[in-house]
Formats: sequence, structure tokens, C-alpha cells
Amino acid sequence: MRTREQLIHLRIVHVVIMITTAFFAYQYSNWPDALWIPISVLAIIGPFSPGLSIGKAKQRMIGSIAGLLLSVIIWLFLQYNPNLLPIIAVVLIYCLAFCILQEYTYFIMLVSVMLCVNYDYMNLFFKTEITFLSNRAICVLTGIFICQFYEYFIFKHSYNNAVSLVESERLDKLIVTSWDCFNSLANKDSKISPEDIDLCINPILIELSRLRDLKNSFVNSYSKQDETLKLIARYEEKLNSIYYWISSQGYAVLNRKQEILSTSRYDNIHEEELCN
Amino acid sequence: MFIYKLSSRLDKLDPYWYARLMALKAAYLATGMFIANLLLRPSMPSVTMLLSGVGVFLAEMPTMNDLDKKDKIYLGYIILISLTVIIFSSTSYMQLPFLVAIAGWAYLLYFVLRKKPEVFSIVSVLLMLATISQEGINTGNYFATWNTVLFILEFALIGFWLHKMFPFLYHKIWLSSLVRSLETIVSIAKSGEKSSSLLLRKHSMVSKSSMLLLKHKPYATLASTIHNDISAYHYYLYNLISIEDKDFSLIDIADDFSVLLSAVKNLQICAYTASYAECEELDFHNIKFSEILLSWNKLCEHVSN
Repeated sequence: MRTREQLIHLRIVHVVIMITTAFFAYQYSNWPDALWIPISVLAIIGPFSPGLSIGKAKQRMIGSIAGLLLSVIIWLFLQYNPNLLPIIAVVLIYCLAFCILQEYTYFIMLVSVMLCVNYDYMNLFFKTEITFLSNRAICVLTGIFICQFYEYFIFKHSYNNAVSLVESERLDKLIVTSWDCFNSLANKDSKISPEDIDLCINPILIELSRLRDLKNSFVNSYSKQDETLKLIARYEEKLNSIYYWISSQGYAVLNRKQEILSTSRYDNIHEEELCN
Repeated sequence: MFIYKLSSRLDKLDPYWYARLMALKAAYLATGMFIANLLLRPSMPSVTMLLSGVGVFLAEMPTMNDLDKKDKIYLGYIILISLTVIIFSSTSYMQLPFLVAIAGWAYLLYFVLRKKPEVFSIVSVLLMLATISQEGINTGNYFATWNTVLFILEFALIGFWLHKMFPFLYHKIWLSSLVRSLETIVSIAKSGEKSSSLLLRKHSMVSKSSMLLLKHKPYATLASTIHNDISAYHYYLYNLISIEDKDFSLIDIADDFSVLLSAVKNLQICAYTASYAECEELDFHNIKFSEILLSWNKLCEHVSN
């Protein structure tokens, strides 16, 4: 079984292969607007993880087609109102920046519009407008095809049951550390601030969020991840239970009502018991 | 009414004001760069403005929660994008060496950052922008490349100055996280659901993270006090929900926080006297709510301007 470092390195090699293939297609195809092939590939592999890239490829396809169609309307509008270009550009940039943190489909739709309006406006080839947009659409789809081809036919089995990405050892250590951190607070004589408890609880929440992202990336993945998903579910359950336990005892610890925390009951728990 | 509806719809899409801040900054930066373009007339205006402007977006990402970190990220980005553009444009006229150079550079960037996979997306952004720049500079002319890189650096300097001159709006992020926390407290008090506690912690973490951006402001201590009080209140509320056979109602808590929520949303002082419930379990609420109210009234003077 590959370690986390080995999996990351393998993915780096795979990503570089996809990028090189896209640039190869750009250099040797002689297609007009072939530059959009590597641009598409680079946008799709942005999230790095194979599962997220697959999801992003679908969103890119829908977003690009919608964006290219929308750019025709804006381009036509600008033909008759060229002086409005700076205002339209600022409005588009506002919307684009707003969409950076939203669903990728909307973002890429606006990127397509911006790039088309930008380069079209400079060239002003009305007669070739449709050809120009079709070329771009074909190149975007080629980029998506290159990624999907590699992910499905070549790299599919390389990531099967990538359980090392869950980082079990680190999570086990975190559970023990959080438990110890909270226990030491409960047994402390001095006043405790909510920030002290937050220090025990926040790493758990960060890990829960990481596990959720990891699970989402595996849901769309072409590789088999049954074991990994089971492990993620197990750790989610553990982290949730320790989170709810600390939350339930937080008020008692803050107000020094230590009788709620029966120390004799919890002090003798060993690390193995916590982690299993 | 329209503004209110729009605002609440935007709140759903952008609960912590990050996207709105980035959008405002982008529009402001674009206007500044258009004016600079008018005066300086770079050889490749769209490429120059795009490459230098994107750095500000990277610096404004939610994970960049420190003002110094934002500046360093911007500087790092400008150095890397300039290098990437130089590598791409100086090899693009040779077909095979171009492929080797791109593969090598991409591998090197990913390999250097292999310990931090969460920043891998920056590598693809760098490579993508350098690829977009090929639409303009792919002649293999070193003078043209050098000229473009100098323009990128010049616009980067303007972009950085514009970024620094942008009005301070980071308190909006903290305020949004406070609003979301108060909304969740009201919702928990009404529904009595423990599962919403995770949501409250999420808001608290955003609040904590955004407080780093307020550290040089005079009201940072007040913001920190409110954050800690809300955090303490979370543990108290969780404890209250867990009590079986309650002889008190959580609706009083929901009512009190609804009034405060409305004041925070409208950036107004909350002239409200909470009805003190005579119940031992609600003593903490009576004290803590008054403290939060008091801190908010002091803070309000700073943030409502």
C-alpha cells in the first residue's frame, strides 16, 4: 500500500503528464485557438485530487458552453455600444471576483465571457465570430477529454483505496491530544477561558472539515475507495463524539463544576481505548 | 426593501462577506489599472493587467488571514509569475524544448510545495496565467519578453499600492461571522437541536480567524471579548439543551438574542433591557447576555462609521 507521500508524488507525476500532453496538443495540432487546450487542462487539474478534477471537468464543460453563448450577446451589445466597454468590464470583474468562492460553473462562465470579450473586442472579426467561438469550444472539450482519458483509462487504478490519505496515525494522535488537553483543563486550579477549550476543540473541527472534503473528492472518483470511505466514516464518528463530549462538558469546566467530570472515571482511559 | 432582499440573498451565497470584499476590491483594482493603462500604455494591456491583478485575489483568499501574510503572498506570486512568463515565452518558439521546460517547471513547483498540497491550486493558476500570456507573447523575442515582464512588475507595484489604499473593510467579515453566530444561537434556542452546535463552532472559527485582520484596530480587544463571550455562551447553551425536564423556556434566550441580532445587522446601539428570568439555570444567560450587549454597544461606535 502506498504512503501519503508516495500518493502525492504519484499524483504530481500524473498531473505533469496531463499538462505536457495538453501542451503537446497545442504545439503540434496547429488548431486555431489551441491554447485553450492547456488552459482547460490547467483549470481542471486545479484542485489536484482526481475526484475533484472529474467534478470540475463537468462544471467546466457546462460553464464554458454557457459562457461562450453569453459572450455572443455581450459581444453584439458592445458592437453597438463600444464606449460602454470599461463599465461592462468593471461589472464583469465584480461578478467574476464574487464567483471565485462560489460554484465553479458560474466562475468559468464569467471567465469565458471575459476572455472572449477581451480578445474579440481587440480583433473585431465579426464574420469569424461563430468560427472563433466553435474553435474555443472544441479546444475546451479536447482539454476535458485529455483529462478524462487519463483519469479513466490510465490513472484509474493507481489510487484504489488510498487509505493513507486519511492519515489515521495523525488523527489518532489528535484524538488523544484533544482528550489530554481537555482533561488537563478540567484538572487545572486556575481560571479557564473559553479560548482554552477552543484550543482543544478547533483542531477536531478542522479535521472534520478535511475529512468531509476528502470524502467529497472520493465520491466522484473513478477509483475504488470503499475501504477509504469506511475509514473516513469511522473517524468522522470518533471526532464527532469527542467534539460533542467536550461541548457537553465545556460549561462545567468553565464554571469549575468539576464534580460533573468524574476524574476517576476518565483518568484511567488508555490511548488504545480512545483510538479504537 | 429591495436592498434588504438583495442583502439577505447575498448572505446565503456569501455568509462571511469574503466574496463581496473580493468583488469590491476587484472592481476598484480594475478601475485603477484601467487608468494606469491609459497613462502607461503597456505592450500587452490585457495580459499585463490580468497577471498583476490576480495576485490581489490570491492575497484576499479566506485562508490568508493575516495582513503581513497577504503582502508576502502577493510578492511571492509576482516573482513566480514573472519567472513562469519568462520561461514560457523564451522557449515557446522551440517545440520540444518548450514541452520539456513546461514539464520541468510544473514538476519543480509541485515538488517544492509537496508538503503543502492545499496550495497546489496556486501552481495551476500560475501555469494557466502564463499560458494565457502566450496569446500575446510567443515570439521568442527576448526584448519583447523583458518588456512585458517589466510592465507586469510596474503594474504589480501599482496593484500593490491600490491594494494598500483600499478602505479597511475586514471588520465586515468579523461582523458577518458575529451575525451568523447570533442567528445560530437564536435558531438553537428555538429548535433545541444539538447538531446546530457544529455550525456555531464554524462561525466562531471564522470569527477567530478574521480577528487577526483586526489586530491593529483600536476595537480589536472588544471584538475579542465578544468572541470569547459567544464562545462561552455556546458551551452554556449546549449544556442547557442537554437538561431534561426544564422548568424554564429557551424562548426568552431566543427573544433576547433576536433583539441583539437586529441591532448588529443594522449596526445600531442596542438599547434593550433583558427581562431577568428568575431561574438558577438562566443566571449565566442574564450575566453573559448583558456583557455581550455592553461590549457590542461600545464596539458599535467604531464599526458603524
